Amino acid sequence: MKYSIENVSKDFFSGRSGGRRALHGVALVVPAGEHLSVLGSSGSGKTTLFRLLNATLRPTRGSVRMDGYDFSEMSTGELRGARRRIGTIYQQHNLVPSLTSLQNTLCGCLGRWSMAQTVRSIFYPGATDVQEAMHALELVGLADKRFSRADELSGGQQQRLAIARVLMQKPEVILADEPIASLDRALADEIISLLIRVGAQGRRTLIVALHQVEFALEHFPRVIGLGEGRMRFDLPSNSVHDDVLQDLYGKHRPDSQRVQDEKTFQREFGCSR
Amino acid sequence: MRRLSNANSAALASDLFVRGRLWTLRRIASLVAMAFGLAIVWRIDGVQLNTVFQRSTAQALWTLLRGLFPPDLSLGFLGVVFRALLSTLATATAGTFLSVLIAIPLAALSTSILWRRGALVAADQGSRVAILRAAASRAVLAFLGFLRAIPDLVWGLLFVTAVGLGSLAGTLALAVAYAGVLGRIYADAFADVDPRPLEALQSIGATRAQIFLRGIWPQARPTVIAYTLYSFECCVRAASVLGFVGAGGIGYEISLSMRLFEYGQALTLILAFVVLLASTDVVSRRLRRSLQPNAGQAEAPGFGQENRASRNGSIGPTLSRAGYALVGAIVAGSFYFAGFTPQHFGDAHVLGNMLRFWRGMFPPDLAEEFLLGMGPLLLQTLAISILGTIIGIALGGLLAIPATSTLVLVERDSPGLQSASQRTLRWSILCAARFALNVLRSIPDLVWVLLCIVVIGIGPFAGTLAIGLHTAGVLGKLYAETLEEAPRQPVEALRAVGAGPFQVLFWGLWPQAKRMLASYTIVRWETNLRVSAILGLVGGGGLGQAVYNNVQLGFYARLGTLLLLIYALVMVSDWLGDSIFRRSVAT
Repeated sequence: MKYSIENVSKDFFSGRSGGRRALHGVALVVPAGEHLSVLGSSGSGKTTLFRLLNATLRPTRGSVRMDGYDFSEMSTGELRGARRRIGTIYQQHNLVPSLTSLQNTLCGCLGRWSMAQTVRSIFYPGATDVQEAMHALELVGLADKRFSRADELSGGQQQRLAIARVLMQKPEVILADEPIASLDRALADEIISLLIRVGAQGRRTLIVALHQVEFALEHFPRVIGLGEGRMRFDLPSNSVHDDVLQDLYGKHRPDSQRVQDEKTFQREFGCSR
Repeated sequence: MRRLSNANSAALASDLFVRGRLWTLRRIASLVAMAFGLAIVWRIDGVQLNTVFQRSTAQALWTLLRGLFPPDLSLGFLGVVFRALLSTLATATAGTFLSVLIAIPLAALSTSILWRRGALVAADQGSRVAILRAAASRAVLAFLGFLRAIPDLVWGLLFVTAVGLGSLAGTLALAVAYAGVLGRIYADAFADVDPRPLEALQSIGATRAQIFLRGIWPQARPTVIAYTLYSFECCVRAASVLGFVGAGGIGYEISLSMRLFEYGQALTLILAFVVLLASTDVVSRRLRRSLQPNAGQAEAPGFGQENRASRNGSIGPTLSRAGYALVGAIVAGSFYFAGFTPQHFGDAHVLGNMLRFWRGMFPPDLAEEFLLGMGPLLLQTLAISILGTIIGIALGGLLAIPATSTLVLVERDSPGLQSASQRTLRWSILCAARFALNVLRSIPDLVWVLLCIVVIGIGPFAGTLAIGLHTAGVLGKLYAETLEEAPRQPVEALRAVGAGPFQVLFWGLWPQAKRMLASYTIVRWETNLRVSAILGLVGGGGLGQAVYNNVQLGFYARLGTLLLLIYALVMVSDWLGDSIFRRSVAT
């Protein structure tokens, strides 16, 4: 599935304080099956971009097209069909807290369930659905937590559960908003490679927002940078250099990057800076 | 990673219901028990579903509807309505005033800190005197509980019998019933004050009366005032309904019009009643809100250096001299309108009647045959409350779904096309559902009883339906509000998966809101049990019927027994409601 975003701006209006512009004239084309990483510090508009891409937010100006069809021109039913094809992993996980892990995973099916199936599944989900959900839970390593409520899980476990829900949805596009923010290094590696493996499986488009520059450069062939709601760069990962990043993050570069620099420095000069 | 086999997954599906606590033996057992209980309740209640589908019912409904419209707006009748509204307001004001006068001393008596010997704050536990004193404060609290447990309508009937028809009986009934309510609240407010200033006062050498006036009262005053206003609001509601047993006010006019088959007049009165309630609601809410910021400040303990004027300002509202005069005039006028005229009250018969009547109730009639005769009525009361609540849950739940904006309206910032006609349709569905809920809710349950009696005849079924209709309005509104307030983020995630409104409801809103919904329902059932005990006063079956009959026949000893029964019923329902509530919160 191919995305094309044309000159999109998004303003938020909030009562007294007036408006805030979250995105300024962003343009982007993502061909089907491409793996793309979005870099940017907090408040740079990444989350807004993702909500535009998953068809839950209307742009103030410009258009978001999926295979050439504009989200803004779809009927309510068509829009639901489009959303079914796009899986989202939210930064705050957005799980239903009082449902079990298994039930939360089953939520991924909602788009393809009929009304009758929806009601029935609360009490007695179909065996194939359960099998699929269990498989998804096993992939993210949560099989033993299947009967724990989502709000009883740790941050990292909730993150993996959110991924299991997307696996269950079997979308054509996976949007992941900082999917490894609450994970340790080893698990982060595993989750990123899992996402990439899943993406590669069905030639799925994969768009991942990351804080960790080294992950983005290592795993994604294309990297874009967002800063203050504007597109700062759109480059193949092998031509993203320090000066580009310096420009993106200003002086406040993420800690991991600073550690990375320190490592390079030590390796080259054999002593600390 | 291992893939699950097919056989494995079938086992898993069943596993889900055991481990996922969906289909356990306990659950099945409780379902069976519930079905069984429902069948019994159905049987006791005497539901005659076939009467609903008879032609005569439809005809009666048609006659009622045709009679209701148009409402009677002739000038002469509007005068009657105005006088009825005035007398209702007067009854409520005078009743509230009297209830405050009764409640404050009783609440002060129940404040255990004032009963202690020696140091007030350090408890003198263990000594016999201490136990006696604790018992004294408990006894006052139990008395307040009794006043509160007897429904205001029953008090109304008792006072009508004692002092005759009219607002005077209504005022006295409100005074006694709400003295129980307010006394309990005041007692809590007095008990919750910061003890340190009291200790300081005691060390200065203040007497108990001084400690109460200078230490407890200033701290409790904002709470006391806020709840008194709230109680006034309830009194207006109650004063309007008390007329059903002949205690004056607008309720009397409503029941008169219904009895004379003047449905057009009844509709005018009901509308006036709804307007009265809505406006007291607004006024009282505004007054309470204007007190709110002060209430927070006044809780700060200690004696600061500020001068007295500003302290007074921070403790509660201060009235100018003219303000006091105005309030005094309103209260005096209310007493006059409520029938506290010298010639009426100075009449020795009123007090003598009252005394004779009260003496007639002691000792209560505890003859076995009478008690056994009450058994079925007690069960019927219980059945009416349960079945009425179930009807309310079903109808209210059904109406709550289209009244929830999260489900009906498309999110404001969502992409996608939406024609103007579609948007209008969604809005009108929402507004229609909310309007229906408001109509159901603002017509009081007793008025619903009168309307139901016209359509399906006197009896417990009319009472059940009436409770069901009113409860549907109350619960439906609460349900819709609760669903709307459920956290949005999970709902957004489900929408992004492609879920439609019903899927959002079942998988996103219901799991998050079900606990709140259950608690609201239990609380409502408790209220309904109280209501079902008095429905009989206007022909809705249950214990109220026996109360009414025995009052009419002059069997006051039996009346005493019935009051005790109602008291016990309310106590049991409180306890049951609390324990169900605690369990549903715990699991």
